[in-house]
Amino acid sequence: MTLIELAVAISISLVLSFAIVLLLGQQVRFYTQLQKFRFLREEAPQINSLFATILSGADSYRIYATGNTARSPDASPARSGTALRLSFQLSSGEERLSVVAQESEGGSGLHYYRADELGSFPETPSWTISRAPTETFFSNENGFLEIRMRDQNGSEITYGGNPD
Amino acid sequence: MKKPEKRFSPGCRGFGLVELAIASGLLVSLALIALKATLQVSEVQKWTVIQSLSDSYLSRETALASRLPFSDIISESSPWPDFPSSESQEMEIGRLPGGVAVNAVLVRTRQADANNLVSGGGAGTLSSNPAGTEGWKLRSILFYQIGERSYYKARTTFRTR
Repeated sequence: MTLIELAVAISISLVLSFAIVLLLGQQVRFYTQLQKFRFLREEAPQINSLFATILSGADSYRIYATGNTARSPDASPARSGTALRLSFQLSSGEERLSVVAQESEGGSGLHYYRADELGSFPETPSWTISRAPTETFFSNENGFLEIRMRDQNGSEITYGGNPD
Repeated sequence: MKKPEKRFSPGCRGFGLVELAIASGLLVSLALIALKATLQVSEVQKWTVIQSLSDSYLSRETALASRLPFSDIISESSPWPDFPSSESQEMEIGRLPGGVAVNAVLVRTRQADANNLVSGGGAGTLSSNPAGTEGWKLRSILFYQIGERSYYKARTTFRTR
């Protein structure tokens, strides 16, 4: 092998190595981009489906500024806020309350609290609807319930709905 | 007498170059295939997400159409003007990662039920509609674009009194 052949072989090897690094970088960027769309692609439709199920069973709703306010019995409702108190009329005639709230403390996410038969809410969420949204706003400004959700990457989606 | 040609085989001088050329060719082909697959997945993802955004936006339209007082629906300033009139406006239906706004054109119009009385925009009579009930179809149509393709999606809410 001559010196020229060796130089050409090394150059081509370098080009190949560079191309492989570029390919790897592209795959990493692509994966990151895919992850950024995860909220809109996977989480938001599931949250919408859950909300549709929960709301269709509720008889009325009230909006509160925060989750803590929504869980306290004497709080005044607001036109918009980060928590939603739902009232379910049972077949026995009793009323059962639930709260859906976006909270940052104790594990950020959209939490669901189910009150007991005495109307007391638990300290910790009964279950977590999703941890993906970083902001959720409930609003009644337009005469119906609007739910606007954002995630940490700036994605935003808005739903509308009414209890039956 | 002609001397037999020596076969170009592994071990020959310069064969390494041929191997490298083949390897680089394969790598470029692989890169192109990967790039095409990436673009396709990206397009499909964008399509899915924008369909989801448009569905969610139309859920607002259905909710509003169900809740709006009947007197507002048939008023002069109704958000759903009487067909063939319509109201068209560009709306932001959501945001993609990075806060990129997704816009669409929303067209609203309402159509009277055929059995409405003439005063209610229909062709019904007191014999076909003795109670004088009035029904309106509130149509919301969303026009949007994904890539080079145009789409529209419609929701109709029927309101009566």
